[in-house]
Amino acid sequence: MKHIHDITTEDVKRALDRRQVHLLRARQGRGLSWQLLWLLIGPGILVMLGENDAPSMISYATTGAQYGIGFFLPFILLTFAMAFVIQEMTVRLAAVTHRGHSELIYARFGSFWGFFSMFDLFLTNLMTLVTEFIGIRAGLGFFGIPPLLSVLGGFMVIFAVVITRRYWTWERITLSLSLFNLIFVPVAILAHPVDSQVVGAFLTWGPLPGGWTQQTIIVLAANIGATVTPWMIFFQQSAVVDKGLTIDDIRQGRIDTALGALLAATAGIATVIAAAPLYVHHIDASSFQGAEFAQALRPYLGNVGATLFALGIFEAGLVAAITISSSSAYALCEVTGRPNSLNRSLRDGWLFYAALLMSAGISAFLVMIPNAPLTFIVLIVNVIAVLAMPPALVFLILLVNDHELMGVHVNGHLSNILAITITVFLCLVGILWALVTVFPHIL
Amino acid sequence: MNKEPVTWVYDVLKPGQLTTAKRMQHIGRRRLSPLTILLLWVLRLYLVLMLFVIGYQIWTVLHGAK
Repeated sequence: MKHIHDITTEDVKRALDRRQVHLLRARQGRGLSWQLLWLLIGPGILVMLGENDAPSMISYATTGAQYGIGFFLPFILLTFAMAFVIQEMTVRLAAVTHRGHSELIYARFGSFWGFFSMFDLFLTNLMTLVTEFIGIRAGLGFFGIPPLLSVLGGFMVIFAVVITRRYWTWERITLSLSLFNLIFVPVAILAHPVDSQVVGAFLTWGPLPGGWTQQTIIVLAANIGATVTPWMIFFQQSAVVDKGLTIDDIRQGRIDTALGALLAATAGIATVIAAAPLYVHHIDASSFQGAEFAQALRPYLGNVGATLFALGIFEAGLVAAITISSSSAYALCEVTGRPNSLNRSLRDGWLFYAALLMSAGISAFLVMIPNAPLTFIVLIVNVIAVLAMPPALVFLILLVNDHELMGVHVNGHLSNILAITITVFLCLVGILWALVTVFPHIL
Repeated sequence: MNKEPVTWVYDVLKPGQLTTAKRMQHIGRRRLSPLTILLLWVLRLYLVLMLFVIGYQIWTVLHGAK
């Protein structure tokens, strides 16, 4: 009675990837090796660099332009440490249960919370995707590429990556694209920061020009919002399931997530440093978008620096569009019980692929509509994201402490203290941010 | 899909990873403690409040746009 289940093409493709892991382990034992890590990394780096999306990079650049090199450098590192604590739990959940986050919420807490999490995520993702296409348009607009061509080009890249119908290929192409997020590191070097100032910022958590004002709190909340968002939880858990990680791979999953957090923090910090010349020269960048930052930085970073900055905004929008549209498709199909894998054929997984491409396509279309309320969408997306954050985090903690599901892999005391502290902190900051956005004079 | 040529898949994947097995293995509803029930009601209340906040924001933006 061992082989009682039918095998699908999804199983075969996943097994082909897993066989490489098995063969390597058989040769090398259970220890850590670079080859094994190469096979098992992916979702962690993708989720962290995916979260360094176009609005996040602009948020970091605004921070650099308003506060220069100081408090926000170590603070960005702290936010990614928080993101690691949250995301590590999704790795464990996926490796133990082999189920996505939406599916588990639906199964364990009922249809109300299952459908709520799916609809809210879908709506937030759709609006976030609009901001990503704005980033793609702005980044390529710097090079004189017409908006229609840049948006259409962005969508075609997503289409081409998805149409491979192979998780491994999709993951490796997206990983390669995501590493271009580090383009902000050479841009930061071109800004010629003073080494002692950078080191001093990390050692002293300062300076913080102007002290703790309402504006500082808004920037602080924006930086947190640029690091931990609901789609990340849903995406990484689904991607880990789709990749096929098991309990044996949790260690590598953690390294993958930590590596992603480190790379993303490096890119975020580099962006603050890159935009710091605007602070030194007292240039008001509060309403700058991607291309305007590149233009404004040209006198201080040169043509190369400005060009790399614009390319970085384009890349940030593109990679986020790929990962965020995937998280929508995973959530929809997990809740409705339909095939949800990038290893599926187009015929079997038609709803999955349709949801993925439709969400990207609708967002691309919205960006191209003349007089579309894009400013309104950008404004409200963060507030709606905040709506989703507390339920997503609370369910994550409840699920990861569920003995029936997790067995010995439930959270330990220290993990729970960290996770609950971070959850309460993130929820409070998120609510504060939402209230300040809606009622600007509340503080 | 034909099972014969791909039986090696059973050896490589964990039983819980097979798609048909996942479809057949139903994960039941969780028995909720009073604290968890309270937490879920707080979340529901929070959602209602946030919907008001979002509604107000939409109204403000639309009102301001006129």
